[in-house]
Amino acid sequence: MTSYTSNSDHPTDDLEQQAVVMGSHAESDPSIGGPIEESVREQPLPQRAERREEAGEQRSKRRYLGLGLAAMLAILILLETLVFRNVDFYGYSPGFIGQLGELKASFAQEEPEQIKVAIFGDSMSLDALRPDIMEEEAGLPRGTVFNFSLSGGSAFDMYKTYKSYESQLPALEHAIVVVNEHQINNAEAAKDIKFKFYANLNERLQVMNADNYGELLLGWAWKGYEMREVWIMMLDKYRHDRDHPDEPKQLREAIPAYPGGIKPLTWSPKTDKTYEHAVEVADRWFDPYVTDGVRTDALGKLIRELSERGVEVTIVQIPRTPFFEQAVSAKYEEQRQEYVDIVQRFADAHGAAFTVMSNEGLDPETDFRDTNHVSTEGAEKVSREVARRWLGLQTGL
Amino acid sequence: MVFHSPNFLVFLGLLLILFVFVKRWRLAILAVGNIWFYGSSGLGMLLVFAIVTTVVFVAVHGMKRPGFRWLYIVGLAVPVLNLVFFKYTVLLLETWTSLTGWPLAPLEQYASSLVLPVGISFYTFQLLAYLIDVRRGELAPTRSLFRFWVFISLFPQLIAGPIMRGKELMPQVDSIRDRTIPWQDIKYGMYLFFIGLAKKIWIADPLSLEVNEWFAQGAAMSATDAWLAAYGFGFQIYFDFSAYSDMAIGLGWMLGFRLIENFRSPYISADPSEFWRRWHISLSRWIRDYVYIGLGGNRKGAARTHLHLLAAMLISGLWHGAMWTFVLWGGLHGLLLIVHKLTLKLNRWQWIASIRSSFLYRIAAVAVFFHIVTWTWVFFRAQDFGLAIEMTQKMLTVNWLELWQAPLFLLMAGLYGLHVLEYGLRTKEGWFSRVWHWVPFPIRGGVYTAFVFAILYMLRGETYDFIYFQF
Repeated sequence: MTSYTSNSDHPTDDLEQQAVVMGSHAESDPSIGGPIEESVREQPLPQRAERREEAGEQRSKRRYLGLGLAAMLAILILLETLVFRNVDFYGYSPGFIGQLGELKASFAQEEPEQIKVAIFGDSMSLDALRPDIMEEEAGLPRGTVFNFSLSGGSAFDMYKTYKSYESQLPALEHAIVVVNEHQINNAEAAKDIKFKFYANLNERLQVMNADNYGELLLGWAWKGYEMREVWIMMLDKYRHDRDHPDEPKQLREAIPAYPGGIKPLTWSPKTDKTYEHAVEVADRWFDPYVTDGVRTDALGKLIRELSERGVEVTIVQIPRTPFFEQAVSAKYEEQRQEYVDIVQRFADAHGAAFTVMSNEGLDPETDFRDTNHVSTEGAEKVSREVARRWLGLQTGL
Repeated sequence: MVFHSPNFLVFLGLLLILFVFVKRWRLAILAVGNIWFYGSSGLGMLLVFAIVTTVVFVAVHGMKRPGFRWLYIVGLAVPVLNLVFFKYTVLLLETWTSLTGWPLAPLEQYASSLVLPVGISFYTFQLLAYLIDVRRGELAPTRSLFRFWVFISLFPQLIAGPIMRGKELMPQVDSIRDRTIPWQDIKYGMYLFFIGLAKKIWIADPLSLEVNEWFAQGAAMSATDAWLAAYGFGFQIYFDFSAYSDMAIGLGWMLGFRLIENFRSPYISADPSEFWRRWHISLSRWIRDYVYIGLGGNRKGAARTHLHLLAAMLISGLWHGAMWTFVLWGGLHGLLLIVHKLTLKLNRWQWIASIRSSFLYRIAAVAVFFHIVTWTWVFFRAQDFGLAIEMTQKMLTVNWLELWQAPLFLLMAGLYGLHVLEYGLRTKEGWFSRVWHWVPFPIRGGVYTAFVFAILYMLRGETYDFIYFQF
């Protein structure tokens, strides 16, 4: 142990006077590696350090409480609580985490005790199932259908979203769980930023391996670290807005709220509606395809917990373009069958209905904005179809 | 496992907690921690490292017994051959082919598939130093393979030094179980670790992007760009490697070990001799003690002294990498050292000695020598001889006025300023520390927090390896 000179609060202070170059050789030529005068940070051999231990112990205890570090810790805890674990903070920037803030803001506009139908899914159901159209078609009052779908939503995100709002949905009677193949692909589950935001320690342990344990454990303890990509992007947007006041703002001034859930997308580039793009999306969904893991477990838990609560569960796969179906069948028919079997098993286990909706009656040119997302026209048709088939007749609301 | 990765931070956190609170098992914790740290690079590499370590340990103990002196040769040969096999096979085969014209294609194919074990150059030198020190009677060998393993694989210095010696580190390993690690040492270690991290993330990594672009231009680069590339690489390699050393030394403080300083602001050197006392100190003293002195040092006349010096620097160059450009870089420094030694003879004239000791002379000498060192980095960094020579030609014909007016020259001047500032900060750490602690602690906490987030901001999810990992 090292002790310190009376006026010093630095461990190497008194070494400046007593510097020795360890290992310097009596015969050595000073041309390379020899001693130099200002050897200020040569450290003592332990014997000397030990001798100092006793003398410096009292003074050390008194002098160095690490108050600066304690203050830093306090600031970090405050930031965690008020900023980095708060979805409202991220809502100012669009993105996978920002949409959680949008969902919260949209939900806050509703009267939760009126919500009787909840939709859980991904961007396909976000675009396709419009609560206002469904309410109109099923003859339900405004505010009874709420779409909890998230862009890029996996089964894990659907389950966690449900858990976040579960206690605020006292009147829930019917849940429409919109599924597709990528939602239960666990190959890249641990890298998903939404997984990182939502996952508890137990869930992290399930996806942990030799490469990602640091990221997952550190991220669990410190959201400011884990969400660094998001807040760095927000900071960049802020700087852009400040430096280019004449350009459209990248950072929102308020968190947007939309009736019935997050605002759907209505536009895609033309190139997104080609067979090549369909193949690209299919590869992204299926290569590699691992159905065993947290996402699949989460789908099972979502259906089970909803059913056990007495909520009627309808599991639906939204229609996709014929060329997307073709792209999937061409390469991944086996994986698709595996997915259908898993979802059917969950449905059977909890008395839920599972339907793969056909794309018949939908025009790929006008009813889809890309290979697997419907357009506004398509949404009108799909929303009415879903409402007719599962809300109007069965809920009796 | 790089120091600035989340895996390492979790590893360090767990290890530190156990290390501080379970004193009794410290050696075991370190032994396992070292295996975890090195094993994360690959189990094959770990196995090779463990075998070579065991062989040297056996040699160290066996060679003292009558009739077993040959074990000394075995102890030297195994780590050296291990290093040659993994690091220099491709170079040797290519050189053979270019000299004889007889290609050894299957062997070359096999050699190019070899993966260089992480830190092999560093642990090889450390093992050799231990063996030679025992042989010279400067060190009593430890009887415990377990402790020897903790010493040789001590994770803060395992991958890229500082290259520690048995007589420095072994006593610390032996006493580590009984040592109290005061909070101040942990704090000081954290300070060094974060200084290193900042140098790496804020300076070396962004600079590497610029430098790579400059060097990627190849022969097309202008004279101004050639100088900027050389300046840039000189600063990149300094801030990168000294960052690693700071972090390693900081980790040592946190664990109760004192590792030697590896850099002392080398670009303020006025001559090559001083430079090598400030640059990669642990390597240069290894070369001095085991190569230069081993060859005879300065005890066999002036000519032999110069020859030994040149040989030592050529080996130092070769150690850095399996390319002849590295050897040439070492050779250039060898020649610079020889020339400097010769010019020292001029000091017998009093007026020359007095000029040389003046402040103005030092300023001029530092400026000139800095540019010479910068030029030598071209051979270190360039992809091949051809480019290095072309860059040299361009650098010699540069329009200095144009260079000084280049916007990025200002950046280089700023980096030099930072280098000098670091020198001031480091030499007066105690004073700065006292002043800093006059600042109210909530402000200090705020600054620390801003520092941490600034590192995260610059990191942007990207991690680049340290340059010296490849050596």
